[in-house]
Amino acid sequence: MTQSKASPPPGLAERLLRWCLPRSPAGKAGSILGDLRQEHAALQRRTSALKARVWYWGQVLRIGLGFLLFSPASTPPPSLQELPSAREKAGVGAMNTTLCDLRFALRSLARAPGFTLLAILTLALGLGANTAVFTVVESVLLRPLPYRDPDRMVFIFNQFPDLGVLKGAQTPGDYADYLEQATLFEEFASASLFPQTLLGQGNPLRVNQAIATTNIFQVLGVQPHLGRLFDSDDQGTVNGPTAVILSHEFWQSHFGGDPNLIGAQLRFNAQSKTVVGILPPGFRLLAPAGVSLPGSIQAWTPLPKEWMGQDGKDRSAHWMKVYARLKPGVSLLEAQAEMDALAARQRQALPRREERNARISVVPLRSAITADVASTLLLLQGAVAFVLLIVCANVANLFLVRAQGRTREIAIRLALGGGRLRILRQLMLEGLALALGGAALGVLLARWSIPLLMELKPVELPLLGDVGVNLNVAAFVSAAALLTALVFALAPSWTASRVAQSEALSSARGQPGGRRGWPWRLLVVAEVSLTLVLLTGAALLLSSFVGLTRVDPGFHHRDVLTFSIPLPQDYWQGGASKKTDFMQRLEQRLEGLPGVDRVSHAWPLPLGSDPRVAEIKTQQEVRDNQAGQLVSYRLIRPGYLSKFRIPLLQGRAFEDRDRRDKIVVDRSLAEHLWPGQSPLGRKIRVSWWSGPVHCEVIGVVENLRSIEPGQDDPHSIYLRAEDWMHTSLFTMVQSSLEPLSLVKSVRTIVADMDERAPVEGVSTLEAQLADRMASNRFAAALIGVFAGAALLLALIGLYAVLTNLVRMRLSEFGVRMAFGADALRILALVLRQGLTMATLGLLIGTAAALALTRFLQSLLYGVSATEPAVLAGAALLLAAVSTLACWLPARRASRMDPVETLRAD
Amino acid sequence: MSKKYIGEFEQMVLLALLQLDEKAYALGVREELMRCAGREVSRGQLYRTFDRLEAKGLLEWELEESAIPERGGHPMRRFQVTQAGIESLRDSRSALLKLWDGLETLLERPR
Repeated sequence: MTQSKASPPPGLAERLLRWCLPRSPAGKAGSILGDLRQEHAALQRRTSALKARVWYWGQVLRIGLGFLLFSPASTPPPSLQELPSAREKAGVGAMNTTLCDLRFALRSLARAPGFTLLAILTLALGLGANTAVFTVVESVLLRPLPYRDPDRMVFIFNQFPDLGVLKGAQTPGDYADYLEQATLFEEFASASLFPQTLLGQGNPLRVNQAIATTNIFQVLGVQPHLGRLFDSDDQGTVNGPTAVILSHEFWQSHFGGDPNLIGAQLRFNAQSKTVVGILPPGFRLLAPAGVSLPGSIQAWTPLPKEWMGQDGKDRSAHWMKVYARLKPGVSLLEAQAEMDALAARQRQALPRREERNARISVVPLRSAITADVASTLLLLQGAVAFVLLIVCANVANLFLVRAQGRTREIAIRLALGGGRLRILRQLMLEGLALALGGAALGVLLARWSIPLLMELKPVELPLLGDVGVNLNVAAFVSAAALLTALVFALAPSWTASRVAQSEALSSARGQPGGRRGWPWRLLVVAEVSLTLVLLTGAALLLSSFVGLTRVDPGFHHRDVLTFSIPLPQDYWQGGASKKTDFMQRLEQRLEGLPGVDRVSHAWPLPLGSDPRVAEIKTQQEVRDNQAGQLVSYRLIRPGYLSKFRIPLLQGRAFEDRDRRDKIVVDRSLAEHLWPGQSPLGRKIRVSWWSGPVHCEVIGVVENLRSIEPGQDDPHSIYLRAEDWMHTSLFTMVQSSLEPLSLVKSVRTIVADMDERAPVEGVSTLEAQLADRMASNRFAAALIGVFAGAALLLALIGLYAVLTNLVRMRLSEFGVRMAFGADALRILALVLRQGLTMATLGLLIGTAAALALTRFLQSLLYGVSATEPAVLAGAALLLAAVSTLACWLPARRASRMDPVETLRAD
Repeated sequence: MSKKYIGEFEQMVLLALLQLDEKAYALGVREELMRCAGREVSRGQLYRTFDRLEAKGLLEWELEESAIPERGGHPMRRFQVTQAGIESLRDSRSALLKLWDGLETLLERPR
């Protein structure tokens, strides 16, 4: 059975309710609490403890608020009678008076439902947007990583800045050096993606497999769900039997969670692997973006010894992704210094390291993972903070208007001996109650909008698994609400409580023309300047995004279907002919499909974010034994360049008769190596795994354009795929049909050619381009929405303030008109007042925008952060909106009947 | 002097109290109302109605110790309709009956 004895309702909730209930006559409150306890216990028995708690809190809110707002006051409004006595007994009395004030504040808000509703809704929008964005920020940037001692975990990058490679992987030689020489690191581990095809389980299935050092799971602090993890006896081999560990998700989805799978043999390509363990559910390997290590690794297998090279120090290829943990107490700076020294030693021992600016970079794992999204997220947080400030200005404005209507009430209270501080506190409490109401509604809004936000697929957000409102978020919302209340209620409360008694009592309507109008004006100026900053930021991001979509990436990318076919093991044995033959036949058969224009093969795809690097040397450099040059290399089939319209500037492209000794380079490399001379016929030595290869330059092509903001295009060389192929190429199919409609025919053809070959990674170049721009689009869209909201708020704010100012000056206008001022004059008078404020706001806003938008520069593509046209456009739009907001009240003022206005006073 | 009639919900509360007689506690009243009127009754509204009826002098209550352990020692209120309350119900009833008079055929005819 479940519990026989029910637990009491939540204590805090009960105390809160008791406070809301009337205190007299004795026993009444107690009986209500008792009733609720009884029902709570019954509900707990019928459902669950949690449901009962939630129910209880709901009842507390409903019953409590009901009594606070609607019950006939059992204690009279506190302001007048209680005051002297409350002053006398400061201690216990002070608490009671605060409570009384709070009740009074709630009641007075309930008496003005229009005002309250408007204020709460406005605040809810501002606080809700802030909560939603903060929730994402919290889950991505603030929550600790789900690993052991996450603060000491780092990721290691090899950087070749001259190549534009900042997130390079390591060679086995590098890894061995770290193990031998780095003393400040507790442990190193490596995992790298090597997908393999799972055979013998129905259709061949491409599996995201990681090759990892056996200590990877100890370093991350993972416990197995079933079976065991790797131990040091698990030896990886290239062809022999080895161990494999599966992810929980893959085990569930593909093997139905069969516990007997432990010990079973699985066939990956030609290799047999024994399942030794299953990882816990939800485990993900978090890696920096652009490191080609997806979180959804399905199978893990130990690193084969052969891959490390004969001496365990192969230095020909950078493929190891290295995680490490610092020793306790070691700072990042110390660790970086040690790696700098290590890199310097490597540079001395190895010529390639003489590449001037190469370095080893130690980055805390969290910032490595989130670096790319952090700036976007912080930018969004900044933008919503601006929206909140504008919301504050608007609510403050509402407060001012309301306080003005209450001048007489306040004056009477002051005259009867009410303390100014008490009245100030009273008004502040009203502000606080509004802010809390807004926050509660805002949290609801945030909870609804977060899934929507996620739907937009903002960016590769690596930690986005479980975004939700938690304690951190709650603390943030409360702090934001408190601050908000302080900002929007303090100034109005202060001015209201400073109303001179005699003045207020003598006239029902204040005389605002002079000094007392300043809080309004200040608000308008602030609102306009804040809006301009936001608008400028949005305009910059938008024009950057539009520019980005218009960039010509330098190759034909429309209507191109891409996929890859990992060829079975036997294609890789022996010479190139079997692979070449397969690709050739595939190209022919695909080109025979109706609607297909051209087909070719390349690796990586022209948009590939993870360029592969090789070292080249000119003849001169070989002779002088100088350091070479690291370039990114691209494998292509003959015909690729013309088929995908990469312009050939000099010489010729590959032909079928060419062999391994021919090479094509891009323009920037040719200009770099042989400035002012013809590169054709020049010899280059390419360092390759199998040894150096001497090649002759036969052609020069235009550079591909980088679409990453702030990155230069790396130098590239093009190699004939048949001779250099070490991995399966991507097939690119250009058609006049919708590319994805070809997928079925493609699969049929491939299955017909070799049933063991899976078709994987089906996509289109345009989709990949759009993916790369997703974060730009997301930031531009969201900030655009925020800026639009700000503009609307500013319009409403300006309009409301001016309307109110006009109302306060009605009698003055009446007198002026009676003395002969015509409508036009009054119109000009009001317009001038409004536009002066707007202009001042625009000036301050321009200065602020100039100061703040430079933080955007890293997110902008092809636009300067201080682009005058953008700034001017934003300012003009805002000026137009401001004029509209001033025009309406001004026109109304000019159409007043002077007699009416004078009589009204 | 004009008579003051009480609202529909107030009438229903008073009638439920009379029905429950000796066992007229808040929880029972709520259950009785839901059973007869077939609608959800908010607790806050019910408690505030008790207060209102008390202020009008139509009901009174006394505290009773409760032996139910789940109440955590909190007492129970047993309600009683006052003479004025009964008068008020009687007035409402006769007014309503007069208004109903002759309308039976109209109101019972299905539309």
